[in-house]
Amino acid sequence: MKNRAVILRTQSIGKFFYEPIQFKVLDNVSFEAYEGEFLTLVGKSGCGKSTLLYCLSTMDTAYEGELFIEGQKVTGKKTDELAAIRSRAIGFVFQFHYLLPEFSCLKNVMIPALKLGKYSHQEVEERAYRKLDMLGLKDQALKPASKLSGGQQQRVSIARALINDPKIILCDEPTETSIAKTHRMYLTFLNNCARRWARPS
Amino acid sequence: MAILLVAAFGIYNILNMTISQKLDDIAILKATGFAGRDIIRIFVLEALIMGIIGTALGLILGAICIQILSGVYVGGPADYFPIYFDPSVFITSTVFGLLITIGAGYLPARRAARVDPVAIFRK
Repeated sequence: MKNRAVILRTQSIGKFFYEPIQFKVLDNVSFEAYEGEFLTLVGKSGCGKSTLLYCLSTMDTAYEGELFIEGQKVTGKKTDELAAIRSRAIGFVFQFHYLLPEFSCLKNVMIPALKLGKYSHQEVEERAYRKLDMLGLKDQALKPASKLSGGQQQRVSIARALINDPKIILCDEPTETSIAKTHRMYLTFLNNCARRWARPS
Repeated sequence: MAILLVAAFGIYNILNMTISQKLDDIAILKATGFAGRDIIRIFVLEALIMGIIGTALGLILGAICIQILSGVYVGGPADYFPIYFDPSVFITSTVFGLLITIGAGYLPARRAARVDPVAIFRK
């Protein structure tokens, strides 16, 4: 793992929950993740895995300690700056797919890229097709997201997380809703992604 | 003016409802990098579309009513119903209509922009 850039670093992150009682859910979490590394976070239910992921995703800002993404300090930035960082550097796959049901799968995958505005509309469309193809969903691209099966929807959400070629992909139990076979497929797929680029968690 | 206010409440309510239904969608947009002002833009645009359609229909309906009423003979000193096309009325009502629409859209949109995605994903 040497010679590779540290892409994600936390410096003694801590977080409290205040309701119903004060409770320290994260205590002094420090780690470094390298480019291309595949990290898995294991722990029992309620130990703060998701909470840590939300902090790492820059969506949760109410924590102690410091978070660095691509060597840049993220803690304390304004919400709009954080949104820009998420857009560029972070892909997120959730336990549930959170697709926009009225839009086609293709559009769902395209939206984050159109927001980023790095490529033209046509390039974005081609890239979205390629991502869907990687996940075996090319022929479903034009269907509304709500018409797909649960597993297919989850794969569309993975394509959406990959569309901007983020340096970091955060997954919160992405295989929760899938059966064992597809479960293994996802992990292999994400692992391959990691080998080619960089994706902790 | 009173009618415009009632219409504004209508838009305000519809938008509030839409936003409550679409909390998940707002959360995922924010998670994938949409900033607060992008969310505001989406919902103000939705209000504006409603406002433009409403204003256009209102103007057409008003024009038709004027056309019909101005042809109604009422007798007396007026002869015909005293109503006529006044472009300035049309222009002011359009401007006010759209302004109120933007206002009625902006308030709920700001609420949508403040949605905390983490709180949504935790459910």
